[in-house]
Amino acid sequence: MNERLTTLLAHPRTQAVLAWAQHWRKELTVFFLMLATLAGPFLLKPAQSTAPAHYDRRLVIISPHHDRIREEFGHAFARHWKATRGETIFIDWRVPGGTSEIAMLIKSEATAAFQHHWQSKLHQTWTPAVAQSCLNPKAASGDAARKAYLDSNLGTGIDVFFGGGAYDFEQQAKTGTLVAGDGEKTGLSGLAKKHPEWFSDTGIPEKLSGEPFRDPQFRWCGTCLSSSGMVFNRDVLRRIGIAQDPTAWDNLADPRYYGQIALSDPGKSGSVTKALEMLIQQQMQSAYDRLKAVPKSKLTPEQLEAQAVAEGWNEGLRLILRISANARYFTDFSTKIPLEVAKGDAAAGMCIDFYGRSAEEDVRRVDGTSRVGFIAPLGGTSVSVDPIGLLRGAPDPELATAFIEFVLGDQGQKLWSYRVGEPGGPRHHALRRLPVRHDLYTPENIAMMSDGHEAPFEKAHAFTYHPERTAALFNTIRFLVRVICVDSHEELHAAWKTIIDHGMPERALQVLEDLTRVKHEAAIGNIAKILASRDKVQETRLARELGDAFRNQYIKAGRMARNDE
Amino acid sequence: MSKTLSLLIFLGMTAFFACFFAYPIWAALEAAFRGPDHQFTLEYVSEVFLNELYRDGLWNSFIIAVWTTLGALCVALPLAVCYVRFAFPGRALMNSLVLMPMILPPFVGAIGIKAMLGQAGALNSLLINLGLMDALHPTDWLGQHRMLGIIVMEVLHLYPIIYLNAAAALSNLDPALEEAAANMGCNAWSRFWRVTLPLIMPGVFAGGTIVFVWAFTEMGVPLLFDYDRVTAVQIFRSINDLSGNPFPYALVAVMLVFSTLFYLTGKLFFGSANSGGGGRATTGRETLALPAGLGWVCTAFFAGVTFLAVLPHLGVVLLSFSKDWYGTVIPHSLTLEHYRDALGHELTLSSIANSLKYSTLAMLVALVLGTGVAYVSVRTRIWGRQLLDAMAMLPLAVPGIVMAFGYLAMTREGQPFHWLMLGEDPLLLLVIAYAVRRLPYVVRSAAAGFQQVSPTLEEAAQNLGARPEKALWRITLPLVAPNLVAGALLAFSFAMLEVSDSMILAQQAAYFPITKAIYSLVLSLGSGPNLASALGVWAMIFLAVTILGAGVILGKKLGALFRG
Repeated sequence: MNERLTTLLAHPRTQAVLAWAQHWRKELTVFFLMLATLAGPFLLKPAQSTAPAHYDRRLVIISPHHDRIREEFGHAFARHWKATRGETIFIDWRVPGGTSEIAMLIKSEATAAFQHHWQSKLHQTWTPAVAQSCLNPKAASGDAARKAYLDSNLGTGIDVFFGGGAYDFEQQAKTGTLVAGDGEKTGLSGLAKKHPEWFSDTGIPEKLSGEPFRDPQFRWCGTCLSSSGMVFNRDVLRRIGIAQDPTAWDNLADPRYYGQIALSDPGKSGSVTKALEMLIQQQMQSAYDRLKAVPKSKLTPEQLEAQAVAEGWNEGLRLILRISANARYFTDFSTKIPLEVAKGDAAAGMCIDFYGRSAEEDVRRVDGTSRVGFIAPLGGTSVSVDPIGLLRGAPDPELATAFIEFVLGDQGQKLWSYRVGEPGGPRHHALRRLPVRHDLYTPENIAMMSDGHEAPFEKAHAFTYHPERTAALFNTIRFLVRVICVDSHEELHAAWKTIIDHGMPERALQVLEDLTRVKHEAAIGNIAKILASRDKVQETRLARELGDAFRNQYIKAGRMARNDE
Repeated sequence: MSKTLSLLIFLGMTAFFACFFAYPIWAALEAAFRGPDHQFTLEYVSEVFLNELYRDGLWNSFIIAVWTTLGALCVALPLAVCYVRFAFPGRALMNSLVLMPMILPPFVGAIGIKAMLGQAGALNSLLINLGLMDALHPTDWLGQHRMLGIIVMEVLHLYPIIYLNAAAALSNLDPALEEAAANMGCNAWSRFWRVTLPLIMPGVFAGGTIVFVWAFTEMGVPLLFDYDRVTAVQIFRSINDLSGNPFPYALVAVMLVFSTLFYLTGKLFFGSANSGGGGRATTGRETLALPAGLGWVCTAFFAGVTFLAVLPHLGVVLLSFSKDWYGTVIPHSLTLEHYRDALGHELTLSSIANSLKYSTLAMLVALVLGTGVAYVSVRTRIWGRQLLDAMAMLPLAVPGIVMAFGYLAMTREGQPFHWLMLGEDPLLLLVIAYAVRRLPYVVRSAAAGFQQVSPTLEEAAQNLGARPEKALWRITLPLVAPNLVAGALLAFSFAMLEVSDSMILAQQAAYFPITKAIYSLVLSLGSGPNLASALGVWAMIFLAVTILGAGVILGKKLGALFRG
């Protein structure tokens, strides 16, 4: 053996190779090191992929859903399709960011497609007026461009819009980018024919406690439930001297939370705006109850409602102002809120339920306790849905419809809610969402769900969502919170600190919280009008004027607090 | 170089710039100057100056840029002088190590820094353990000192740019000049101020301008600190939440004007100091062997800067192994799970392949274009060469996201450049976008090289009968090769780490480059930062192997070239 090795080594060819290696040893070392680095991802490459190199069909889904949801649904649906149809599919997820980015992308793609159609198929001239009206639901009924768009099957290259808020889907449906399908084979209208029981009060009701769950014209439908709430870190709470977990929105306005609240910019995230809307709704409801309880009130029901809405609006904004004053700063993504709370960078934050519950599960200790907790304030939040819908001009409407069917069917609904390892449950991560179909809340199913005991359909009754009170103000809330809280946070935060340090002097507080400029009358009047006009010059000027006024107010309040002492 | 070739390069570059720089910017900026009735208006731009928030943003950006540049100069110049002048233990190794910050995207570094500076982070835990901090009142570093944090992060990320440029300039400096000054009785200190510094000014200026404009327009770091009173972040945020709003575009226009002004001012004051070519070294430079003690001081200085600069990266490494890093100096339980999840993620393999493809091609394009521009602007006297030079620097002043939106707009269906999309593959678009954005580094390092290599050498070759092209190819290019290699490496690694174009232009997961893959991992719920860190660590190792490998392979030749 040894002899052989020696002869082999002595062989001129071996010698030549060795000499070559010797000469190029640096280059070879570098080369092998690079190879070793590249080997890692190759060796760990997933055995099964929803993005195969060769596929029979492709499904394009645009979604703000996070990684875990995309992974679980992608795999499950690809497997399902392979098993039932024998075809390999490629699920092409488009994830441009939050719902606002998605809306922007769909709008620009749809406009571009229509421009092409208008110019090269219809041979008309492309004017700004045409660009304005083709996707504008408020365009005149006889508008040629609008009509041409609604009659067309112009696509964005995307099949399905999956996830976001009901508000965003209502907007897309009005714009005409979401469609109901042909009523036979494709779209939600086709599914309604196939599974009428799903779209009924025992399955998915059209509305629950005021929240829309699906579009009566079948352009979109909820897929799972969610509510807003507070995620908190018990370690930090104890450290800042708060013994009780928070239970209601107004707990977060407590000055002890100064610099310890995690919030994100409502302009970035539909779920944060939703939480703020809930907070305002709750204040309106309690103003209503308060006014109603006044004996011998001379108010007519209309006056009562109007006054309750105005008072609740003011009270809600005041609360948002205080919570913002407590905020550490505003992050750009709502997923950062539970992360910061779990890391101990903030004591509490507002977020959507499954973010909070997942954060709790992620840092759960062996004994089952967790430093993180989540609570949906009872009577402080509605139960709303994350919808799905078929986009106009979907490249593969049949596959798209099959995906929607899968998500709304038993398999998809179990995927949302079951624990890892339960039959039909997710593979890696519990998604911690609740099924939208009421008929699935059977004792056997609930036993396998992570959060089945939450009983959302029952809890929803503790809070009635009154869309007429705030739905029209959704954008106004976004705008006002951005102007008076997010953009002016430095001044607000500093003034609030001075006021707290000087024993909360009443006069300074009043100046800080002076909301006359944005009272309900102004919000539904001038402010809403400017926002609705889509005139960005006016909007920016308004933002500047309001922002300047509020910043001056904050600075003045801080000065007063210092002098009052 | 013959006049025809110069003109050809000039015209080619101008055409390229018109199509892939001016046109996309125009596509994006058009909105800033066009009123609702399609007339030219300055209303939006004036509104920018009326708005206190925007004024604050501009001022803060300026302050950040000034301090970042000063900080980077203070760190990089002494390092460069030590490296070129003195021999000290571990000199070659240290030279590579101080370049480490360039191999990690700052937004990944910020994940590490945030994990360490949190209220229950490593730094506070350390201070509490040492008894220097009250456990009940930990400092919220990220909440209260964000501006400082941003400046420190940027200095630590950007100082290598000045270091590389200053070191190249120093090693090309003719030691005879300094010796002459010494002979005339000039002491070491004033020799440095009066002779050395003015002579290396083009190199320092090249680096300093890049750092200044970079810090002025930097978006990633302030964004990760969630600091929104900085112009770049204001642009990013308003572009995102209000489509069709002309103000972000007006802000871009204002930022563009300011960046160009800063660049031109810098050029006026420093750039012209020594444009005639200080001459190539006529004698070899002897590195001074320091006595053992002082030598180790140099080593410690390098090591200290490196340690500070890699702290965020260390945080990333620790985070990638940690189960739950909370309230302890180092994570108490480690796991390899994040690597399995991150490297085994569906996005990972394809994103790595994509990034390699995009970056290599972009580097080649940038190298060819950049060398051409630098040569024309330094060595020829054709009209408009200064313009060409300024044009090549402009991409630094334009936030990536604006260019990205411009590229997107010009390749839509029915638009003249739709063919660039190759169906749905953004390959060409991304290569062009990366190349344009990285062009300034190549141009600056190449221009510094051309400025320092005396044209007389090329002229001598021509006198001896070489054609101008041959003289360029055989004489000048080999002499500026170290500059070109440095520029190309910078271009490659920054292209690998590019964020804004990647975010906007690569819309489909199959075409994601690695940065977008990392970014989408950060946002995943729960262990997002850990997964992103794991992939970030992989990227860091890969770039380290590439850059150090290139250094090792070119090592001798590079070193020899440095010494002329």
